[in-house]
Amino acid sequence: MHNDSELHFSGQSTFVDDWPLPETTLYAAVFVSPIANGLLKSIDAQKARAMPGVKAVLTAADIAGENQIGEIMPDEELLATKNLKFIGKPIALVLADSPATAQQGAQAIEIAYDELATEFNVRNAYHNNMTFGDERQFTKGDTKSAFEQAKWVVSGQVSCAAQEHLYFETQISIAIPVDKDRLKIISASQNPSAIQKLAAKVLGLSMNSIEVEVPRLGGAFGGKEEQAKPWACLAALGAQLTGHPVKLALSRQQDMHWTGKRHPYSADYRIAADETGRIQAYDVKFLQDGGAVADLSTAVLERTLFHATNAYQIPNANVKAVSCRTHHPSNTAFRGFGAPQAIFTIEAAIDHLACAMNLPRWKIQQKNLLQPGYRFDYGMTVQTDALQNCWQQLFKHKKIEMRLADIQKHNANKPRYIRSLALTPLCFGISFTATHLNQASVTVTIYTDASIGVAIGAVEMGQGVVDKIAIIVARSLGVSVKRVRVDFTNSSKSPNMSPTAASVGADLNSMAAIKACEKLKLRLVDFSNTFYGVDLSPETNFENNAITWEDLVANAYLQRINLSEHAFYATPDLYFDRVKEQGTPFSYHVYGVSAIESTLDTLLGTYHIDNVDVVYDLGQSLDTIIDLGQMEGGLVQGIGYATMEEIRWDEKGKLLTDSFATYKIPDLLSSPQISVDFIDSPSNPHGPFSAKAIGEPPLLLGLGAFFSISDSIRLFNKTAPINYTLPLTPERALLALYS
Amino acid sequence: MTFAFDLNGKAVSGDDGSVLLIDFLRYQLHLSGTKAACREGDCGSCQVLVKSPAARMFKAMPSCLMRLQDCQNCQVITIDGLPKNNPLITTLASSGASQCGYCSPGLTIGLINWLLNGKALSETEGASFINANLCRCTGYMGQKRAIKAIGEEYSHLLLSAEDRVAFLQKVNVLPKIVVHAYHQNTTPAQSPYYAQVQNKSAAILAGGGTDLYLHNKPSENPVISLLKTGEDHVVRMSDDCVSISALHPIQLVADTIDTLACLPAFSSFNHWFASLPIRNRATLGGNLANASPIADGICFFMALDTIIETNLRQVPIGQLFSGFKQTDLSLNEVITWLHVPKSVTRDYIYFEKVSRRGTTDIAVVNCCGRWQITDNNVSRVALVLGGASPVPVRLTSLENNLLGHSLQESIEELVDTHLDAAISPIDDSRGSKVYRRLLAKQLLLSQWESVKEKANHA
Ligand SMILES: Cc1cc2nc3c(=O)[nH]c(=O)nc-3n(C[C@H](O)[C@H](O)[C@H](O)COP(=O)(O)OP(=O)(O)OC[C@H]3O[C@@H](n4cnc5c(N)ncnc54)[C@H](O)[C@@H]3O)c2cc1C
Ligand code: FES
Ligand code: FES
Repeated sequence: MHNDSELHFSGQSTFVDDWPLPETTLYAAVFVSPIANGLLKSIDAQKARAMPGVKAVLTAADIAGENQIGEIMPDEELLATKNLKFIGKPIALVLADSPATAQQGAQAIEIAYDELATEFNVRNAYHNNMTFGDERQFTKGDTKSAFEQAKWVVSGQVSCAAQEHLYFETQISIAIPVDKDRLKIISASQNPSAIQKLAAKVLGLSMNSIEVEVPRLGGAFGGKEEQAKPWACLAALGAQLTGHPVKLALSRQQDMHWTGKRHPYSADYRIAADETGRIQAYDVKFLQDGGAVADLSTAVLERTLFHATNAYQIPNANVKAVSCRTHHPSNTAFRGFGAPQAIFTIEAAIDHLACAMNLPRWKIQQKNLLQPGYRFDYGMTVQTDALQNCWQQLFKHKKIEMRLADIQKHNANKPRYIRSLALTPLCFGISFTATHLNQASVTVTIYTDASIGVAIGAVEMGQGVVDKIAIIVARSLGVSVKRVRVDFTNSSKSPNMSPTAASVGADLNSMAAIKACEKLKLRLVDFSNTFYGVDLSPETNFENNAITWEDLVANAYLQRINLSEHAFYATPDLYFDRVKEQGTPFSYHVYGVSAIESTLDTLLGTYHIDNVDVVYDLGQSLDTIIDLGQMEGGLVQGIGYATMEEIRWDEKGKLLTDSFATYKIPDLLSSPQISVDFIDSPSNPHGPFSAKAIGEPPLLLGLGAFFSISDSIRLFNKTAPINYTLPLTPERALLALYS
Repeated sequence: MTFAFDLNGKAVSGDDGSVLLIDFLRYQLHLSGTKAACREGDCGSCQVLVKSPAARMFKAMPSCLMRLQDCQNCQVITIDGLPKNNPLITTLASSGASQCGYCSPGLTIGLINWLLNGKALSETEGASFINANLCRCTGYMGQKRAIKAIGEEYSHLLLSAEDRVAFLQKVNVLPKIVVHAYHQNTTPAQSPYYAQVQNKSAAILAGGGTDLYLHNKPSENPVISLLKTGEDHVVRMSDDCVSISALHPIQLVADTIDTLACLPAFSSFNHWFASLPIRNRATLGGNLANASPIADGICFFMALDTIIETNLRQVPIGQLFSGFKQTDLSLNEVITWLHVPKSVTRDYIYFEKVSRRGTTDIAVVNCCGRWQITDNNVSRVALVLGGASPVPVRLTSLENNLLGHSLQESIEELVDTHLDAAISPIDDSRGSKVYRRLLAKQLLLSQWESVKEKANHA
């Protein structure tokens, strides 16, 4: 269970916006580009500067260090000097004595610019060579001859739309200047060390002048990995130049208009099978809409390549992908990180094949499921039969075949409400695909009152990493979890952190924590053996031991035993050769299967996702309530992505769905009943106490909602065009029913 | 305008009543337990409990859509005012209903609101009470587990409790503040604010403010609150009319109608209308005056041949609207009553709306039909579509052609012939023109399905 739950439910947990502020604090508002492409000619801030309450208006010219926050590619100015590449590009920063005055100040700024032609269509962008980096390609076998020889070949297009993170807490940062040239930044960021590094660069300071603290996040889902940076750096800039603390918070509308989303994709697939439905070849090309700047797009693209064949063994594969530049705000990390688009595409291809062959889709899925020993196109080999197990357990325990027969009977007379059930198998690789990020450092400290503090390199955002670490530390030291408290994430306590992402925050930090605890415990056991003259084993549980934990710690301190331990963990054996596109990018894979049942009202095109059953290979769960929560929440986010969550822009690139009123996420009544079976798989040497990751994979298991609804559409209208476009909104459903 | 009210048992007052309650709590009093994720009534995280002197019970309301002057003389309880070691919170925490925690304080308030106002404390009822408490993290299974656990824990105690507030205070769920006694509202139906309205030429009229205060549009003009929270004079019955107040919160209207059993179809309207906290503020007057093409109230009451009463006149509802979001109300004209002829309340009334999410969402197209079937034939019908034209429309030519139509036959051909000319849908972020046109047709076919089903059951 989440330790913070009681704090949350009583409103006592502190988020960045709740941080008590000094009276001298200034409030920041950002003036941004109103156009999606153009050249900035001049900025007129006179009116804003003259407004009572406005203390300063800052532009790029005020930056002492480097005006650059792009990491993978240096293509992102903090404040625009000339190129306006998307609506929402920061141009000037207004600092005032109240948030309202700052916003009014920003509204009073005027700019002159030349508007340039815009491109929002990823296919056009690709044809005009607007790309980030080169096209990548993974290959296996010989697709050419396989396609020639195959009995069945189908091909088509897939289109995946953007998805808004809609974290409940919007982007926010506070910067507090101290000394002459030190700064403390409190930021809602998944990536505190990156903020430390970039703020230092922008301000012309060294990293040791900047401390970044993150209490917790009100949701992030990838949206605060890269995209918390500009706001933190702007707050820091304001603090440096005014000497005042500065708070910068985006309103919901600003956040939705200015920040990036899940990458839209357009893909072309071709798939071949023999007469039994065994897949012979798969050829796919992904065009990714990276938005206006590189951000993490190429890293997201890489995961698309890794997951292009999802959970299937395909002897001949040819997977290409390229990231394209458009004039949308830069698209960014979002739970799943390029995998949802890949997996939706192969599932669509299989669906297409099933239609053509007139076979139930699940039979083709089943026939091609990964088996131990299969080698992926990127070189890794399937180690376990976990996926087969998940599939069989789902069929057995959730009575899938019986339910499919029931549904068929129900639908036989073409009733108004048609039901369908869709299966989605999943294979997801665990690790950062950027190998160097697979590291963490943790410090475990026993204080003189015997309480334990842990400094970790991961940010708590609801995923329960803090609770998992506390459990690990308590188990490893042999004390009650009540004694353990994990600190707010702080760049000075846990240096050079990787972002909390890729589902590995708990894995990496737990492994480091275990190492630290092992050393501490050995030291304490040694000490107690000499000091008390008793022979304690390293397995000792101090909560029911003759020598109490308090006594041991007090004496150890007096005898000058080091009660603090720092440990470092780097996932072993990871490498990836980007020339050969071969290697071991993941420390392990997780597997799962979902069954999604839905009801479609064929008269109105509305639908309800009724229930979802999941079997997931979790290893040994550290905390089932937390893991269950990740599964349930991820599923519903995935179902939202597949169904009702739709972003619309106008032809100038202005966001139309900029509020909770127009961008709809699932609510309680529209969400399904969810039933989850976790299967304990044998030991996992790469996970703490054999646990496995569960952050991102559940979202992918929600994609089946699309196929569940589209099956019903096709039952009603045999000639409905096969249109693999996410999301399948009630609008698309109705239009397909009657096309 | 000044304000004075009771916050978590302590008196608060000040000069600027135009400040939003959420900002006052968070940024002036630093009571930061109350969270705001959307600031437009859509997420439920900012809920607080409010009891006006003329109301019997605390009700959950969105603090992001209320100004301090809207709390005048009320008692307000926020998350920061709840007692420590709250057993409800312990139950909630163990259900896994919280991850990042941003929506959690609102959920606590939403559930207390359920315990205070629920009739059955069943799982279904619990879900309808907290459906407006959106969450981006959990997927709602934790919430469902919490509803079940809390329902089981409290239902037998609460349903028999004489005074729920006192009971919940006793068990440490609510703070032990002195709750103001219920004052029967003595304001007569014609209340003195009409005079106030007539004196102020530039005043802004506010009902519940659920539209007016969206994005806190700044305004220099004084706001005159028309909202009545008293539980009297909500619905009046006369020989030929059911008269419904335009100035009371819609949920109170629904509860009253439910008790009087005078217009059963209203409960389905209420079910589809916004969410409970919004219905605890929004009025029918505001819904009509807004004149939105997708206003559920206009669609519903147009089909009921409603007569609108204002402080100046009585007018058939159809004549009130002059164009997209435009009425012919004159300056400071106040909608006070909706008079529904009794003769129509016995017809079969079917209200349906289609939106992207289904619940707690604005319609793409809505439709209300009123039917009388005699000997298997249509003997009387009224059909209204919203969201398919600048103002909701009555489909008179279709209605005329439906008269005498047999239940055995399809109406598709008639719909195809008469619908197109009657509507003029547009594209917007909620739906395309093509979709709206098709949906309008399908909703009419759905009316027919419903009428046939009703006749079969009769
Ligand atoms: C989250 C949310 C969900 C919503 N869902 C729905 C929905 O499902 N269906 C729907 O139809 N609407 C919905 N709405 C819109 C809105 O809540 C309704 O239109 C509501 O009925 C407005 O009533 P109000 O009393 O709050 O109006 P206010 O905001 O107070 O006023 C709206 C306008 O009407 C004027 N006005 C108010 N009362 C009167 C009066 N008595 N006489 C003359 N003029 C008056 C005001 O001056 C103002 O111009 C929703 C709004 C929100 C925020
Ligand atoms: S902040 Fe979302 S309802 Fe008030
Ligand atoms: S727990 Fe994060 S929004 Fe509900």
